[in-house]
Amino acid sequence: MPSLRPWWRDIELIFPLCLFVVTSIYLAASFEISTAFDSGFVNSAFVPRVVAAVMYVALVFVLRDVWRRRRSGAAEAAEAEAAGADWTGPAKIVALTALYIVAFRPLGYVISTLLYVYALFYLLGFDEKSLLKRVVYAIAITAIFYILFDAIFNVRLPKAGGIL
Amino acid sequence: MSDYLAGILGGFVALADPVILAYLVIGFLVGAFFAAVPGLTAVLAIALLLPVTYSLDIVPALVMCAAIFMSGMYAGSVTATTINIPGAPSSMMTAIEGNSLMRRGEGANALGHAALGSMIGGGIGALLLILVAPVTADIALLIRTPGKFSLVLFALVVIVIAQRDAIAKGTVAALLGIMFATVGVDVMQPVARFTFGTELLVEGINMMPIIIGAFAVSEVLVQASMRGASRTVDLEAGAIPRIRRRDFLPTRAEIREIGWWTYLKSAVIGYFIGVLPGAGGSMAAFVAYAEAMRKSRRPQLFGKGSREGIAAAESANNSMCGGAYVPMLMFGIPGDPTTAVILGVLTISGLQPGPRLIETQLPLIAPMFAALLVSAIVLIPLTLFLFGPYFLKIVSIRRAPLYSCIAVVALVGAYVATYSTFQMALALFFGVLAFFMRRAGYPTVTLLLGFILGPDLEQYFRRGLSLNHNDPTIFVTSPDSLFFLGLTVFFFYFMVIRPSRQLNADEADGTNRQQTP
Repeated sequence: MPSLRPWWRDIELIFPLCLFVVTSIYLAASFEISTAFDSGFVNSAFVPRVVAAVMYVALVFVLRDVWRRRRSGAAEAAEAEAAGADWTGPAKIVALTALYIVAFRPLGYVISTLLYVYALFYLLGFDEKSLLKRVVYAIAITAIFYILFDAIFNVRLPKAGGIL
Repeated sequence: MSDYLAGILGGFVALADPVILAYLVIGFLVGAFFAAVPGLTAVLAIALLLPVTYSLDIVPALVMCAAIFMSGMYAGSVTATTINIPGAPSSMMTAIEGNSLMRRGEGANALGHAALGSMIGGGIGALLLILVAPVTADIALLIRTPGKFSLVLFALVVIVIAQRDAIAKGTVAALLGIMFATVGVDVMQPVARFTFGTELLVEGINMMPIIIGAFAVSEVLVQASMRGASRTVDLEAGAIPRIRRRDFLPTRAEIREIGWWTYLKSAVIGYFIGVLPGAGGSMAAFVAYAEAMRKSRRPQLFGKGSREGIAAAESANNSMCGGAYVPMLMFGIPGDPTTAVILGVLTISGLQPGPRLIETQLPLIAPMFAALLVSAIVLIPLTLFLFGPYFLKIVSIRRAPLYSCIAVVALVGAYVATYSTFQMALALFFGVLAFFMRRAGYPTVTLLLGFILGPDLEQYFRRGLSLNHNDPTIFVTSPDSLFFLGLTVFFFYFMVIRPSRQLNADEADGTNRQQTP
């Protein structure tokens, strides 16, 4: 049966392959660790190297399991389920959250959170017809957590121009 | 011992302080809410509480955690019974029996039995914790460095093999956690590792962004990925009969039929499964349920609305709460995901787990023990009585505002840790990582446990070797180490090798039968 997904959406295969790359970078970086203070073979780099080696073995087992399941056709159901999952929704939320983090200090808690919550409502499909309701809810959520963090728990939240 | 008991009594007195009592009740209600809403968990509730603990005193923070833990374990039974969606994985068995009763119009009675089982099990688990803790601490003092290494290794292996059908993925997740734990200054030497030239990573990765990312941010992403998912969990109109408070009370005849022995045995099973690292409430509930079915006079009722099944499962999973505290407090080894986060609260507050913790910090720890007991025997029945009829409405909460709140608390909470947006970025990074892990079927909890246990594993291994002139045989010649290594082999055999052999034998048997005409 032909695959329902483009190859880059094949998370079951792509994820362990990415971890292969990450482990290789990790292993290479372990050779940069200074061992000036150590005596004997068990130095600061020893455990990371063992972890990397075991990781390679575990990833081989993971890929073997994926290959076996595909051969037996058992992965078709999971594939169909994954094809039904939306990837653009999470990608938009990640991009929005990254923007929120960048804007958090310059815009201050109040403005950045208000915009963030409103945008989240939009992305999560909250009451498309009532703009006013979204605004009111966004103001309420921003205010509630401002009171919780700033007033009750004395957390110094960033303020734009020292006011908001 | 008398000093210890006086200290424990002091813990109950501390709960009488109106402020601490308020935190106890708020924690219980928050835990119940999070566990009753499908998709949210008590672990998420404590993860979101974690940043707040920076501003809280240690006693209210730990009291709140204990209340969330106990109520979270109990309240999972609410949606399990009413809409057949377990609010927590540990309520799976309750869903089978409770929902069968619900469909017969006896939902309130099923909720009553779940509450009674949780109350008895939670109470026994808390009492066992209080009584056994000093003995466990004395035993823990006997374990030396090589033994500690083997104990941590045992914990990690059990955590991984508990993922029965995904052991390779569990291993990958645990190793990934250990890899993240090695970032920053080495545990033994003043050497920076894996900082990739940035000073931001010299101090290592804080536990907070990992917890918040893995449990809160990833949950928001999962919700966003559900194409066409209902924006609320709506109940069929008219499907639920009007519930009166007296309907919740189990009758004496029903309790007699279940038998006190079932409650007691299930609670003890749950407690000891809780002590095992990585086992958790689901395994406790399943083992106690299976044992109750094996010994039941009416096993034919199991799967069709057995009150005995509900009592066994709920007693065990709530009793597990007490057991899970033991390895966490004595060795810093979390028994389940919730205690992993509670361990974060402890360390953020400057408390170091260890055999001497109870002896030296009893005034801080005793209120937490007392909170577990009070949550179980007072707040569980009280909550059901007061809020039982409204439980059904919890599941109809709109998801967009709920998950927006979670996103804001999570990210602002990550900022609070060091007043740095770098922590927020890390929380987002771990959220994305956990999202992909969940999508690909990797256990995110194992990532967290690997992160927590990794530094101990490395430290005890290297210290054990350096104390013995780099001679690795110390790990098999030291009696305590040998004991834990033997235990590791024992568990590995019974949880991995034997079931696999049995499966192969069954398959071969099936093939032979097919071939024989």
